[in-house]
Amino acid sequence: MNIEWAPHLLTVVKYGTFFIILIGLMQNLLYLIQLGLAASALLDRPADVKSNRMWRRYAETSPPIALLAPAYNEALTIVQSVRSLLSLQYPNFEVIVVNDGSKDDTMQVLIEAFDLHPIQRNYNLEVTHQPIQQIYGSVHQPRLIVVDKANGGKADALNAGINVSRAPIFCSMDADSLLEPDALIRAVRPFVEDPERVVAVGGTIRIANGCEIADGRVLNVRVPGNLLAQFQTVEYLRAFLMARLAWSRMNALTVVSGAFGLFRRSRVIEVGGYTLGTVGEDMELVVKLHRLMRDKRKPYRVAFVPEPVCWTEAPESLAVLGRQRARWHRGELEVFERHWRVLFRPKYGRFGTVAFGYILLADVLGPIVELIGYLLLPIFWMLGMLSFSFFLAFLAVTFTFGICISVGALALEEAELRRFPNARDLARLTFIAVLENFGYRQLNNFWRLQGTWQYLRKSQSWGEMTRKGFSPQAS
Amino acid sequence: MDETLLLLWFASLGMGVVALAWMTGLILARVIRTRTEVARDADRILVRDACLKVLALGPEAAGDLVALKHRPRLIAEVLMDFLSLVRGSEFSDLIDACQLTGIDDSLRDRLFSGSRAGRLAAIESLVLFPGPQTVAALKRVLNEVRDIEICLAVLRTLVELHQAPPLRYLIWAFSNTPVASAEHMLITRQAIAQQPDVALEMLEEGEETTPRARILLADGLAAAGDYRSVLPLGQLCCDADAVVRTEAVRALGMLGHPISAPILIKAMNDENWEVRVAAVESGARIGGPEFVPAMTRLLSDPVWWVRFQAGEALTQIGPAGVNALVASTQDGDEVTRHVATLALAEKSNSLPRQLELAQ
Repeated sequence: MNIEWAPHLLTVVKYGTFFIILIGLMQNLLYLIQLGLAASALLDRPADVKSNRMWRRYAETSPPIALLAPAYNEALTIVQSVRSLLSLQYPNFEVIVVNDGSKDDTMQVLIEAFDLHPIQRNYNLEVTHQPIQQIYGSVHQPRLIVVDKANGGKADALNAGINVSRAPIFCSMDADSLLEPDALIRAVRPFVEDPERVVAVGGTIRIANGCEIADGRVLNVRVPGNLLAQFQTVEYLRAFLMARLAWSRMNALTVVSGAFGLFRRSRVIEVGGYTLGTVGEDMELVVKLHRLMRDKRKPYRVAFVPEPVCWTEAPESLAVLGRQRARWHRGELEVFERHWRVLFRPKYGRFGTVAFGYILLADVLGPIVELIGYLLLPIFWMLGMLSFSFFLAFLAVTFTFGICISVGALALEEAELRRFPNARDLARLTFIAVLENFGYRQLNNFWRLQGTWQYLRKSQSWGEMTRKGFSPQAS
Repeated sequence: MDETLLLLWFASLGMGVVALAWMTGLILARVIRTRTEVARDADRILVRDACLKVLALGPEAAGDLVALKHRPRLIAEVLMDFLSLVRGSEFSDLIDACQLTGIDDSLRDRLFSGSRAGRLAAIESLVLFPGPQTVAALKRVLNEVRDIEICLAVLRTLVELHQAPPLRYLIWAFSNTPVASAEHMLITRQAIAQQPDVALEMLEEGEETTPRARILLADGLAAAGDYRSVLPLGQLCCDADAVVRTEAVRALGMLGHPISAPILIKAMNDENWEVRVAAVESGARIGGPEFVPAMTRLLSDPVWWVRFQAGEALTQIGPAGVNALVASTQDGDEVTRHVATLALAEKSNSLPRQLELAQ
């Protein structure tokens, strides 16, 4: 080794290591803050378990809602999904199914099942989308409107739904998600309590794998049998019950899941609706809403309801899950690229500092820093620059901290919601909360790196998503 | 160096122990909770059966309820559900039975202790037990508790018991909170129905009150159906605040008095498009051919939503409106023709009947 540059190398390595450790510590600190904020949010505003009480309190004042369900090649499940949506318990809502140029029989199946007829419906092209070919109405289901349009993707279909809808609030969802019967009355609560400020509301999404499902309803909640789905169950608890609840408490929530979200239509139109040609359209919309309200200096809230309102099917194979996670990460990076100018600008308040700071730390830098850490460790060790006992101790701290955070998220669920019916399920989940730190989290980071690579290559693919469906046999 | 290493291991060990204790605690708590939930379900059935017994045998058969008197939250929840299905003498028998067994007392006691959910259930259920004791207890909660949700629940119950606080106080309180909840409107509607003279007096004070107060008063008076408010509401339609103007116009529509037609026609030319929409909607509610020319003009409004609502309103007004739309499909400019055609097409299911009436 050339001894002249060796001290410089050592300095670089030293500061590099400090930087990596600092990023890791900051991430952990943020997780702790999230856990504390989520706990205080739940203590301050406990989840209301009884839906009849929600009905008594909010039915009279609840605004009309348009449920937008984009459908693409859903011929097998669309009828059951639409029936389930039409039977939701809410005083005033309409269901707008947008057939996004399906190549299968989705449209024909809908026409036959609901006795649809072409209707005239006056609408304005407030936001852009592919042309609408026909709008259908049902003789027997006055709440149902079906829009048949040329294919343009989910965001495009939602934009068409926004134009056709007339209610002041719309609910975006996936046609293959299952909603709780009282999902709307629960999620509308922030709009009723603070109608002037609330622009969007997110709801908790849960994993439906393993649950007993009939007629589009989750009858009994169970822990999935598949290990990968179990990991995702704990992960969703952490993401929704901890992270999103915490960010909403700080009014810095940047993601309202595409599977279920309520939005004030007029504000969404002001920001031009969903952005086309992006894979992170749900996050992009919320970020645009934050920017609009901050630019206009108007008070606003992006709220979150902790009660589970929507159930989704989690991928049970590594390949499909990997594609999903890489796509999600690519979406986050795209949003960061479009809006990075808000970062740390005082005008954007907590949204610019906390929310975008977190995206920078956890989503942009996080996977890369973690990768560098994994690469440097064996090199340091081989060069004799790393004490093995220190390495082990540091690893132990990292793992036990991760376990504490996951158990904390489970504790929030157990303290306020208790949707898993028995202690055995809870015990299984706590075991999974430990196990996920050994392999699954690292795998997740690998998928995020794949997402980064796809983003750098400007890939726009959604990747193939195969689902088993919610038939009783499947679940 | 060794100290740092030791610290790391201790930190890891500490967090491990915390996580383990937390997990064990959660599982144990769940086991205990499952047992108490089974017991609670059994008690719920007992309350329901006791209520059924009272319905069958009269208030004297209330003995079974006594055993559960110490569970006010449970009783409150079951009673609210049960009594929503019962009417007439059966309803009063059940209320008498609860009063005989002192359940109303335990519900009043529950207002001051225990979990928030339990207190909310007790507040809600006390609407079943009107009387000075209930009112006094609820007012005490209002004075002592600072929790907004609990205060709103108390106010709801008080107005349902026709014991609303003075309207001036209520309007002042609601118009000075940072959050303008839609629930405030529900409460003030009921309170104004009970104190309409005060509301009218306040409305006539005009801009001495806050815009939020004027909105609440306009909505409440319209919901109460008090025609004396038509003139003051008409004055409010010239308010400096566009939101107040919108609500005043909407309130006139709710009242539905034909005397407000000229005010609404004037509001259809308001500079604010939301006021114009509200005026069109209110005009459609009142009906009458005098609205047709103004609504027809709005078919070419620069704002799409105004145009759309004007088309809708004309179809609702009846033959005169439909005739105007039909004429607009031929005579108007391009935008008017387009809007009129779409409005007629959208209403095509009910149009044959409308055209029949027009002839």
